Amino acid sequence: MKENGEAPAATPAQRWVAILAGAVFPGLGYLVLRRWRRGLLLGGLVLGSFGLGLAHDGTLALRNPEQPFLSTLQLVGNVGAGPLDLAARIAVYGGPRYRLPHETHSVAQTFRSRMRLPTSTYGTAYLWIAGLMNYLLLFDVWDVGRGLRPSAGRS
Amino acid sequence: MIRSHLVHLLLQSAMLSTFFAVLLHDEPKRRKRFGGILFAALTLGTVILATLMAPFPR
Repeated sequence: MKENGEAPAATPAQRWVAILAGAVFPGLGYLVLRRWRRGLLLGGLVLGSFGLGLAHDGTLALRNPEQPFLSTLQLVGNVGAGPLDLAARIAVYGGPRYRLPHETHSVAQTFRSRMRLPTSTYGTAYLWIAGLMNYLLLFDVWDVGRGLRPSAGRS
Repeated sequence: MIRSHLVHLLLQSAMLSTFFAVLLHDEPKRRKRFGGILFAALTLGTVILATLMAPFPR
């Protein structure tokens, strides 16, 4: 440990493995860097938000050519959850769908009908937050890997 | 599933304030203080904003 309380930095290879792990599953990057408590707590919050989103019928954003900017922002928020988002899309839309097809397509109908469900608004917010929180975790994993976070309590 | 606006507000505020408190601060005392302030700001801010917006129609 350094004199200022910061943890020793990981090697560049370890850092990239940690970032990749964090992108694959929320909180896993911390576990690669042996920051168990931090990983379980922050990863658990992302997973909890994602689970609440799906449980409340949150809408998994699709890029809408008629509203490209806003729908792309929504999509970017969702995709931050990583492969969990992909798995949810396969479960909800029957495949890895990211673009809103013609209104008569079954995916568009699923998308619209899900939006009309009573708790969908809440669920959508939870899903966005889960994705955005996971992006922040990746930046934090990078800082932890560089030894920029104190190691007191290894939390 | 939960259909109460207030319960969702409290739940989401609790999750976000815990997240940012752990992410941004390392000392337990500072985490609690920051988390408490953020939780209060999120919940009270939303209630105040909602109250101010209530008279306006959609």
